[in-house]
Amino acid sequence: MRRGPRTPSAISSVLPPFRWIFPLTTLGLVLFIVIPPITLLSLSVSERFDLAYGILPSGLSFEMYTQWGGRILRSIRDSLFIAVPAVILCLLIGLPVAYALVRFKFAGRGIVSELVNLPMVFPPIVLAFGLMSLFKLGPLAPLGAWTAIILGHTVVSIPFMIRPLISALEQIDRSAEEAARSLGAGPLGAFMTVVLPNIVPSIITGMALVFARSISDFEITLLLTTPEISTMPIAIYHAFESGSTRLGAAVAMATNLFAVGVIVILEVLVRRARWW
Amino acid sequence: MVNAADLLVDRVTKTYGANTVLDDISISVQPGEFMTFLGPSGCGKTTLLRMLGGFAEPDQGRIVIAGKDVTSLPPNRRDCGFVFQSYALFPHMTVAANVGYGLKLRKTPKAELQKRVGEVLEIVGLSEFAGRYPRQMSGGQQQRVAIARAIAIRPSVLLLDEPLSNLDAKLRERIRFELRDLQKQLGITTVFVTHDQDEAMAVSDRIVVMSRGRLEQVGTPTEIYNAPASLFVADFVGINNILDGRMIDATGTFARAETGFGALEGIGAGQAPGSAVKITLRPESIVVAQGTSNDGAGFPGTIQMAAFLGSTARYEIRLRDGSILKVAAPRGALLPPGSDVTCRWAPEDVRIVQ
Ligand SMILES: Nc1ncnc2c1ncn2[C@@H]1O[C@H](COP(=O)(O)OP(=O)(O)OP(=O)(O)O)[C@@H](O)[C@H]1O
Ligand SMILES: [Mg+2]
Repeated sequence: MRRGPRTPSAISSVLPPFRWIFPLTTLGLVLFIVIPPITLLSLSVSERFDLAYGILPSGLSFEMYTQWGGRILRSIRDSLFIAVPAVILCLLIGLPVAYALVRFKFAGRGIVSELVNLPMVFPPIVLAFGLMSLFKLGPLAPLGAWTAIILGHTVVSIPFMIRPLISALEQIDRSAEEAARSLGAGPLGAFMTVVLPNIVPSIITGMALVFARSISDFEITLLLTTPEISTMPIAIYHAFESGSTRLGAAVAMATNLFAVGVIVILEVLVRRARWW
Repeated sequence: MVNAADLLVDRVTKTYGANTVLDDISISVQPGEFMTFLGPSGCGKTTLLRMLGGFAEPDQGRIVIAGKDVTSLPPNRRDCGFVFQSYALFPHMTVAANVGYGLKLRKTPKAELQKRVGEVLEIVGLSEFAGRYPRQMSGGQQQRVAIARAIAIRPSVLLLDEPLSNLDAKLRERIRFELRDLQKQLGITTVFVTHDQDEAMAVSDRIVVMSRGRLEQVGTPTEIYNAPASLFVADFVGINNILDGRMIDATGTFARAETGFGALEGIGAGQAPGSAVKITLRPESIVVAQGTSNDGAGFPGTIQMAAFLGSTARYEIRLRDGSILKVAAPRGALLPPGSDVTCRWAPEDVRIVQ
């Protein structure tokens, strides 16, 4: 069979027309991702609350950061006090659940695997409302606001932990665990030495996602919080509400930097965690 | 390495729901023996092997390894080396760490551990790969790591579940013999599972032929091939002609049966005259001569299909009543389809059963 020379036009004709569309969509996407933070940055270092051309600062002043630094740091601390326990709880709950869903056949397995995704489908405000009636007014009120917010964040972020864990566990050959058993490992030993090292990247990914979900949460925190707890989103909200867009922008900027920093560190860890 | 191990499967039964996967199986494996479980897909080979390894528990019956009843012991307390079809190597560990895994769990001192790992890798010919990760190795190499890992702990029995089925044909044949050599060298009691009868024939001391959860026959490869205990074995192991007939009479170990193409004699006894029987005859036992014989000896037929296979020729010959005989003839002139021929065989090569 003779094959004719393949001309570039012959190749491009079989490809969908994304070639021409994607530069435009990508550009649009990048602009919409990049411009809002630039606006925020400008606003937070601007002398006045109106910006030149809508995105550039009018005059330069670090007043917001110097004057309100303590308040910004406090809200970072409050966010951490909530996000870190939520991440740990999600891992402690998510790992056994994911393992069971992948490895075991049990009654109600299908229902459970749907159920763990539910917090992602529900509008957060609906969940927040339910949690509020449970924690603020209901039987769990004595636990206090911190516990309530931590548990609330755990509930809404658990799918972000379980989903990567499930896909990682599904990749692991069950007989690798069995091989470990026949070589002398107990059930827990086989899990720790054969399964766990292989899912570390996904554990870190899950932790990053839960962390991101927790520090950006607004609705749940708002409905469960008390005046002494001010996470970053709550602080931003209060700043804007009290009429200071510049302060709001400064807190938001700090939030951004902090969140991006943590996520970048976790991303690096994910790459490092797979050494083989 | 002298090994006092011995393995006993004692009246083991296992059902999954209404499905009887193993039906009253009893097998005894001698120390140092290479035993193969052979049978078609779904006959329960893996299930039985996993029971030996401790990954499944029988509903009834006992499993004894090295004189100890292990029926309900977990895998880590059985002292079995298990090689999985998928190799099941630990992807995050080097070859050396994979092989040393079991020794490490046994708290072997570091120097001793390294020495043993080195020895085992030497045995399987992978010394220079100690530092590699499994994904950097070929299928055949991974297979050898899996075997090395299993024998490094010096188990009383080595259990292998279709360990060669993911390899290409050439490599499969080579590793098959390597495995056999290794087993002889170590003198380790071995149970090997396969559905490939050539493989079973080539490596085993004895073969257990299984079908639908039942034990059909236990015997040496020669016994299984030459004296199949059932029609299933006759059909499953090697190629066989299986013909319908009717019993005429029997004298001693020989019997005569009537077929559509004439009466024939073969080994068989105990069937009532007139009862329906099956007649088995190996293709290589049949001698084909060109032309029709005048003396009345042999059975006339016509060549339907002729194929040249290099070392042998394969024929399908249509006999007088239309039944087809598969024939494997030694190399020689290939007779063309349509030739009239006469088929002969010795009565000792014919078996009259059922
Ligand atoms: N956990 C299980 N639950 C239900 N049925 C099972 C289970 N394990 C095996 N079976 C059934 O038991 C029978 C024997 O399975 P087994 O895996 O032992 O076959 P096998 O001889 O190893 O076949 P193959 O050559 O295909 O590997 C099959 O019919 C299978 O469907
Ligand atoms: Mg099998």
